[in-house]
Amino acid sequence: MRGALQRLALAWAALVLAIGASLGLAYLPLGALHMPVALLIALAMAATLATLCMRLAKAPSLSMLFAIGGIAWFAVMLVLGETDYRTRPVVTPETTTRIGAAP
Amino acid sequence: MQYADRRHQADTAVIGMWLFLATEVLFFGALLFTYMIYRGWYPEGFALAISRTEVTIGTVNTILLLTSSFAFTAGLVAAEAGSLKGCAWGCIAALVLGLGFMGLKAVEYAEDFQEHLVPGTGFAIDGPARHGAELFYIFYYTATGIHLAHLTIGIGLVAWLLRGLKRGTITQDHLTPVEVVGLYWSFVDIVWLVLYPLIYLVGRGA
Repeated sequence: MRGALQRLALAWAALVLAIGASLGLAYLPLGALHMPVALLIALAMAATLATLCMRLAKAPSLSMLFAIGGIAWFAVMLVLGETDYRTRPVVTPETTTRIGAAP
Repeated sequence: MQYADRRHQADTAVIGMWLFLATEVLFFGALLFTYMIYRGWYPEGFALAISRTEVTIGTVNTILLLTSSFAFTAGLVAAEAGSLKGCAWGCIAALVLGLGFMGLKAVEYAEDFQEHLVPGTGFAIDGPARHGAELFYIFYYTATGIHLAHLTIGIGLVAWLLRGLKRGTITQDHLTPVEVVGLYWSFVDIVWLVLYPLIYLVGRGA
């Protein structure tokens, strides 16, 4: 039990440091890299929790299938949705006003 | 017979919780997708709104929730090693930390209201970035509100575990409820770990 608790304590300390790193990086002039860097740190922390606290590696194999399935369907939604919204004209209240005002 | 043995029954409960969590990924995923789209459309409004969020409270709350997950897991490890008392302490720690999160969130909401950071008439941010900032705060209240609802359910479940430990319905041979509630609790923590940079960090330093 002692070994398992020590591993948990070490992982907890590492994740607190990761939160600190994420906070510190937010104040650096990273420009467009802010979002991917912050999300990468968040995903690494999520993966650590899924492994250590949710014990995904030791869970029944169907659990792994559902975990991967959830993430895969989310990725499909994100990629298809983003593709749609990023490749067609944007209609916001501002552009609608401009369209209305056009000769 | 419904289950072949006790392990089969436990595995079924664990798999059932993972299936539920997969639906939750899509539930929160739709919210995140909306955030990404509107952030792309209104980068200035989102950056301005994020700079007004309470980053200190957000960071402390992130550490509280993270610690609660590890405390709960430590309790489960103790239970598996034969210490139901250790399990109870893990549950109590998670419960207290979860309540601490809720208390700080209440303080944060109160400050947001005082600063008129509520979309609609009298919204604190004006000018060309107002519309985007309002959309950010709609996301903020929706996402944090739904997360709080999940946390409230989690706190109820942990309290139910404590009752079971006290009454003896959760025993050394029957730790499945602890395992399943732990999955839910850690998932709620993971959701917050993703919300934290989106609400408090990205765009703050511009």
